[in-house]
Order: sequence, then structure tokens, then C-alpha cells
Amino acid sequence: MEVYIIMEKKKRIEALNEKARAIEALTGGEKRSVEALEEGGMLKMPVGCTTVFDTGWETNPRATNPVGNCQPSAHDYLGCAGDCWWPAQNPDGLTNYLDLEGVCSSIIRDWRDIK
Amino acid sequence: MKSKIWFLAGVMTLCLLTVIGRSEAKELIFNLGYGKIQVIDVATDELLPEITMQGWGREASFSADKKFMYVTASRHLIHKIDLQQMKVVKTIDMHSGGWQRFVFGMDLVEDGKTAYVHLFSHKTDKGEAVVAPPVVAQIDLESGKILRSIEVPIGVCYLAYAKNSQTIYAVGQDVYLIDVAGREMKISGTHPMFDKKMNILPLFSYTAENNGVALLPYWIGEAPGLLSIDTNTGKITETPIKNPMMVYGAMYSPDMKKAYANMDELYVIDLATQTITNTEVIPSGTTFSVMTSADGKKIYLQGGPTITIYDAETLKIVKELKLSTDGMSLRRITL
Repeated sequence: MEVYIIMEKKKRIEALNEKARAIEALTGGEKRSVEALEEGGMLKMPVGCTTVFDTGWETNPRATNPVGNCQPSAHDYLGCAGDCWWPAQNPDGLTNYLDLEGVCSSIIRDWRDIK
Repeated sequence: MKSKIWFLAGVMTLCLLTVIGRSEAKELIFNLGYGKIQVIDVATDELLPEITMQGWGREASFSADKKFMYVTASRHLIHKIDLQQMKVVKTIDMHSGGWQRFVFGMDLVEDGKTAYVHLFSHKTDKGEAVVAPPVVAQIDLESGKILRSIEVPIGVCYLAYAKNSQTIYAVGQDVYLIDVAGREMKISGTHPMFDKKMNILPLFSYTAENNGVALLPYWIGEAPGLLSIDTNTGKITETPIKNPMMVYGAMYSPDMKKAYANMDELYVIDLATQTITNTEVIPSGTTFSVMTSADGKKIYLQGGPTITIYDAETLKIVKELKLSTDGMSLRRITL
């Protein structure tokens, strides 16, 4: 969607200097390459990957409940942290936070122990 | 008359042995948890004393004599657990010689002395990162020493060893067949999945408890299916399922006519018609590991610190066990 908006803006903006013209030349021939997940009526979510910043909150192609997998997300927290599946959302249990399980062996119950 | 007496004596001895055998047989399910393994007595569905260990458990494999269970923890430790003492008696660390080696997939060889593991390895050399190609390696379980290895494509997460054919089935983006009979390991075949757009998460399969068959859910787009790798016969089968389902793991019923699969729901799948015949939403939320009792009458689902136990026939909840640890894998053995 963002790319689409930028391309719409491009139609109304004119390059005035060499640098701007160079950037414009680089993007010459660029076509729309990103689509919103639900655009066109068909859900295009990849199975088993997360698109939001909630641990383990994987996408789910079903229209019915539950709308997201891994509920509560605490169920998947240590599973993801350990194997580093979603390192942006979890402590990295493979390299940097090796003793996480010593602090908290059950997230849903002991999450307050994580400092 | 004399033969009758001998016959009766034989029958009585057999009955006695059966009773003794039954009274001594103990069926256990292990929840590979975080800093510990929790043990469930299948006969009573009560918790037995837990086994403490370092790290977070992922995979397990039993020695052929059922004396030991080997558990991978934190993806680099391999704990040897004595199943009589119910404690860790030895630990090997695959991080050695400057290398950090991460284990994703393990299965034991029948000799009980070696295992096959899949390893991702890296190290730093003069400040530079050195990443080794992923390998399937045979290791010595006493020392952790790599005895031999073969490079495999990236993405392998599950190994199943077939002792009859001396073949390792390494499941990743495709299934790679590795012939281990000779001196050198060699890839002897590939079952394609990636080109067929099969999406697979091979983390919740338990070949030993599933009649020697690795049963792995897959999706092509949104169409689900079950991939089976029979380590007894070498047959690999794809079974598309006609109804939608999202599942992590699957296990056969003892007659292998049905499969139970789980994630947010528990599904019963009729394999002849390839349809879902029963389903229940799991009240405690998402579950990861699925395990059946040996007689197939109960289904155990693990999600967070909860084990939900179902009657396999009715899908009614028999019991909900609250554990002190989350988990990732349930493994079963009858001692």
C-alpha cells in the first residue's frame, strides 16, 4: 500500500536537480510490487508466519475463530525464544539469553520474574 | 493325563508371567520442559517426580534397551537420562573446539553408542564470522565427537533413522534420504516438497511412538495434508486432507486408520476418506505436542504448562494437568 501511495505522489512531483533526477532514473520502470494481505478479496497471509508484533501470534487463513494462532501467546513464548523463531519479539535463547528458562520456566505463570 | 497336567501347568505359568508383566510395566509420558522434564504416569495420569536438567528440552530418543533417554537441550546439550534412576547421568556439549554447534534433529542408532544429529555450526575467527554448511553427523554419545558427516541443504529440522534400510530421513524443505550403510554417508534420494510448494514445520513428530512412521502435517497454500515416512518400509506418502485444518502435530491411532492432529483444535482424521470426522476446540488454547497412550485410548496435548488429556473415542476431556513448566515435546515409553 505504501509503495502505491508513493507511486501516486510521484506523478505530481517533478525532479528539480541532478540528485533528484538520478533517484528518479533509479526508480524508472518500477512497478507495484507490494499488496495488502487482504486486497482482492482473497486472504494472502503466508501460513505459519507472524505479521504483527505479538509473540507467537501467527497469522491464520481461517475466517472463523480463533482468528490468530497461538492463543494465549504466552503458550508460544518460550518455544519461540528458545529456537529464536521470531527474534524481534522474543529474547534470543540460542546466543544472548541462555538462562531464560532458569528465570522463568512457565511464561503464563512466571512472566513477572523476567527482569 | 500327564500331558493335561503339563498343559495346565504351562497355562498357569503363562498367566502368572502375564500378571507379573502387567504389574511391572510402566507407561510414562515425558514433557520436555524448561530446566526440567515432567513425568506423567499414564496409568493414573498423575505427575511423578520431575527430572531436573540444564537448558530447554527439544528432542528425545530412547536407547533400544529402554535404559536411557537422550534429550537435546538448548539446541547444543545432549543429556543422558537413566530411566531407572530418573536423573541426568551425563551431558555432552556440542559447543566445542571453538565451534558453536546447534542441534536440530536427533535420532539414536540401535547400538546405543552413537546418534545421528543435524547440526548448524558457526564460530568466529579473528573477529570474522565463519558459518559452516549444515550437516547430518554421526556422533559418539560418550564424547560428543563427530565420527562422520555429510553436508545437507539448509532447513533440516527433523531426523528419522530406519535401522532396517540403514537410512536417515532428514526432513527440511525436502526430505533427504541419507544412506549410512557404508563407510561414507551419502544422499541416496530426495522426496521433493519445496517445488510442490509444500509448507512444513517438522518439529512435532514422534516416529518411535507412531509405529515407526514419521507423520508430518503440511500445507500447499491453504490445503492441508499429512506426509508419512514409514521407517519400516521406506514408503513416503502424501495424504491430502479434504477439510481445512491448521495443525502442528499428528499421531496415528493404533490401527493406523485414523490420525489425531492438533493446534487450536483437536482433529480426528479418517485416513481412508481423507476427511475430518470429529473436532473439538481446545479450551486452554494453542497446543503444540500431541501424544497418544500406547493403547490409543487417550490423547495428550501440550500447550504452555497445561496437558489436556482426551478420551480418543469421544474427544471428551478426561483430565487437565497443570505443570510447573511449559514444554515443546511429549515422548512416551513403556518400561
